[in-house]
Amino acid sequence: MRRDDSVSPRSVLEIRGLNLDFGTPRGRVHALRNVSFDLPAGQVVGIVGESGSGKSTLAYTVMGLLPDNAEVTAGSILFEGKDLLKMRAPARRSLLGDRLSMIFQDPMTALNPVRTIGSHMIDIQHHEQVSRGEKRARALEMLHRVGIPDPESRVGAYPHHFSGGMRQRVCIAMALLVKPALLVADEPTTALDATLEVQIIHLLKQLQKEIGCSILFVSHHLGAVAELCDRVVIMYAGEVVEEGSVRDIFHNPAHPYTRALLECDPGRIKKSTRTLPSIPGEVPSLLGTKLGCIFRSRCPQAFDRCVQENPVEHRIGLDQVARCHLLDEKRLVSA
Amino acid sequence: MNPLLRVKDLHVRFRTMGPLKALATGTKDPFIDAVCGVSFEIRKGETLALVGESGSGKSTIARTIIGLQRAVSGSITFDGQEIEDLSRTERKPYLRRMAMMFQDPLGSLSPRLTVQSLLTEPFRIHGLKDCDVGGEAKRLLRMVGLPADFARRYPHQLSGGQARRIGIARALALNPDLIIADEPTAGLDVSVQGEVLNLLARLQDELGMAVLIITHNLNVVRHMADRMAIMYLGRFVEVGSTERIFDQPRHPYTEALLAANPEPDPDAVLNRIEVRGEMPSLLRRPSGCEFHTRCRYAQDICGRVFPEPSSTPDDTEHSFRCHLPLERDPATLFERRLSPVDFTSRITSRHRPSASPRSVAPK
Amino acid sequence: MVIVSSRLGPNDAAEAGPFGAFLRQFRKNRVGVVGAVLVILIVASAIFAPFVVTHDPTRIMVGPRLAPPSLDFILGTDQLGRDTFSRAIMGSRIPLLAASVSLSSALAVGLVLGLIAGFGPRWLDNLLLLVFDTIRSFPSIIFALAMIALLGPSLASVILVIATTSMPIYARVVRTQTEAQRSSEYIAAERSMGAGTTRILAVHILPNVLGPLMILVSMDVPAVIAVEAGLSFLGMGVRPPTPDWGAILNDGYNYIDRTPWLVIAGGIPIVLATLGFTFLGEALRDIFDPKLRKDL
Repeated sequence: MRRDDSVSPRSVLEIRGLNLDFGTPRGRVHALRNVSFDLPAGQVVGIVGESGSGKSTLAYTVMGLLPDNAEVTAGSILFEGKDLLKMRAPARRSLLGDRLSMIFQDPMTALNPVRTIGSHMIDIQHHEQVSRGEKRARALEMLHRVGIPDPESRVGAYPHHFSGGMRQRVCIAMALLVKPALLVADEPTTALDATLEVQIIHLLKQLQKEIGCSILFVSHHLGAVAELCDRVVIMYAGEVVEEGSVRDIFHNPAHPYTRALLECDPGRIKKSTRTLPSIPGEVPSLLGTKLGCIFRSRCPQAFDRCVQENPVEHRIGLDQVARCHLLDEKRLVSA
Repeated sequence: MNPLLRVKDLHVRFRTMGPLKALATGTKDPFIDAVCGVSFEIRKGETLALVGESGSGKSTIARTIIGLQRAVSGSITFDGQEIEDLSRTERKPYLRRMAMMFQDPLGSLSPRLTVQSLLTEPFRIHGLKDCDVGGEAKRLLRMVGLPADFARRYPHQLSGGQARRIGIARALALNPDLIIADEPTAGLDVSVQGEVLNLLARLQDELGMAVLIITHNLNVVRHMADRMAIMYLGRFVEVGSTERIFDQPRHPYTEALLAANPEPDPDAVLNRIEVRGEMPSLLRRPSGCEFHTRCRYAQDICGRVFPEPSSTPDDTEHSFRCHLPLERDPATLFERRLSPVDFTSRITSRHRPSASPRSVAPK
Repeated sequence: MVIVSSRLGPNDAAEAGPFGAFLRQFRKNRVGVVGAVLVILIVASAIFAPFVVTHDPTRIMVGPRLAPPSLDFILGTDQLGRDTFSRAIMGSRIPLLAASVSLSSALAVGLVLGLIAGFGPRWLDNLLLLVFDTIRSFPSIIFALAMIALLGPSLASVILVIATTSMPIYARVVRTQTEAQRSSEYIAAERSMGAGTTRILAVHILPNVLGPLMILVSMDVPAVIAVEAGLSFLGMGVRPPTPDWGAILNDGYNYIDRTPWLVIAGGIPIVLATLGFTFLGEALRDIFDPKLRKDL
């Protein structure tokens, strides 16, 4: 339904019309609805949304790490041209920790507490046909690159010997050790303090440039996304509402939700004020099928068409798409 | 006018190992100092923010004021009365006049009580039996903008924002003089954060209570607090009016914290002042100025001499612990929005430490 | 998934009290319903035993000796010509009495000690844990034999033995649960409002501890019934001629080569009671806390 040149060889990841349901005792929850976007090679794409927007579900779907009650009902995820969803389980598994790797929100739970950092880092290279000594040397070099001081002595340490920031650095080292084509980062800085968050973002940015991989960066933190990403995908209640380059999204947001979200960020409001902007209302329940725009209940500009019709994608400029009826109305007026 | 709350030279320590283990390993001092000699005041109706990263001791101060944690030394005076050395029963009447909102909005609600019981807990604890429980619950729900039928819900049926509102309502139940808000926006989405902060600000304007905000989020501080204190390793490194500190931070750690607030603007990638490394362990406090291991302006003296608080002559309320306090150009960090092509100012540092170590007279 | 748990419609939320939700879930558990029906039947027949029996359960020679089942004697008669059906019905009173008295006293003591251990100072916790573990380290059957040798065979001894051996298990569960709740933020929030220890324990901790504890107790009832029957079978429980399931088995055992009826009649109620309570307990456990047994 979008982009005629959809088999562009320059994309590492192409997600097309992805729909995902969770089976729950209270019915089917449509956690992802018609999600489509591209991740160009060598770029960082940020997935931004609030809790319940499906951004983490999307990351887990790409990695194939969904719980049992999840079911992809339609769509495809093309990774380097191959559909991950049609792949057999062993083939898909062999991609993980090789062409695809992931860092998690909580670096402590992502590491096995009874094994040393060194053994984690050697194990992750199980795809490589090199000696153990060589693997160890690579691990040391990578730990050095992510800024762990004195890696030779730290490689024998256990995860709990490291602070939160250091642990996340270890996780990044592990994820990038295998030189993946795509790194999926699920809220990697949320559990960290502000000064460490900045360090980790800079580290990711620098390593991404050196290694040349692509990053799918899932976050609710607009500041971090603005700093790190080349492109941004805005999600709301399981749908992609807007997508574009980071400049377009932050300077020229087209969807009312994107605008509201940007306005809400207290980091943008420099003058001291006692009344901060917010988005009144709550994320709608995703049970059952609904007609119309998913954001309409909280949208200040909603009109009758938003209730009756699902909005389709509208292209703004060269590289920005948004799903909103207002854009269509505007075009009709100008035509 | 007497301050509502006065904390003086507060010290709080935690045991790191049992006495037997300490004896066995030969550790003479099996404690860490979570809070080291902190003093501050909150006036009636005022908002003070304690800012710091995890492990800075800010929550420990809050827990000590409310009596969940004992101090080793120092005094806490509430409305002229010393409350630190009171027993639990003696402290109870004072707990009626202060209330704390905890970090985890859902976790701080007893899971098997209905919202109505939760909201009216304070009345029952303080033996106010003759009040109309249902009516009070309705009044409190209305105050925080929730419909009356929420009274019958259980905590697990609330969203984060709703649970936070219940927390605010309960804190306000007995019309306290002081509210301690520990990370009032933790766990909330950006779209809801504004609502909760506005609610807190509006209720403060209406009811006139003082608020002590504990947070690591400087964005919250800017819009809520009259004064702020920045903590590092259990000490205040800078105290002053919020406006003043945002405008002209004097301590390099404050500067780093302000800069660590990534701008939600892809073109605003200015010269980010990144602090090196991580906060040292409380078990191994650095010598001299405790921030010198991460400070980019650190000089010889910083590693040797412990800095005493000093202040500027024009604003004695603004004090900071630094040998080389920052001086800056009139252009402030935040008023100056860079255009996308302004590359020159990205490179030039707009901060520089003052030339001589003692340009500012110590207090 | 997050959405599901946090966003219920306003109407849903108002209705879904904890008890209503429990009933809805329980009805889906078929084994649990069978268990509940069995338990209700057994308990009711024990309470209303005098109205259910067809003959005087202790009267000798109401019929022929060791008669097979007939219309008059539904489960036949024993070697003294007593009606087995009436004895089995009446006999349910002793095991149920033993179970309820011993388990409720174990529950009461275990609850108090567990709360003290979980909420009190560290040294007291360690001391109580030592006591619990000491009691638990005795093999229970040897402990039972020793106690009965000391106190003489009687129902009271049986009850005492069961109460003493199950108490530490309950106390440990209560302690674990209490300790988990103790450090949670809502307890700190209650303290910050000035709530005293008694109030925190009674209003906030107890409801969270009681659920798992009741499941544990209901799962122990069949074990107690079996132990009581076993001790009576060995002649260390109630004295004859009091009707009791274990005693009926004991009587029947001597005549098993001539007629199996007595053993069957004595065995069926034990099997039904054990199954009923087990099913009920397992259903409760599945609903409330599938991981409970790991807390021990």
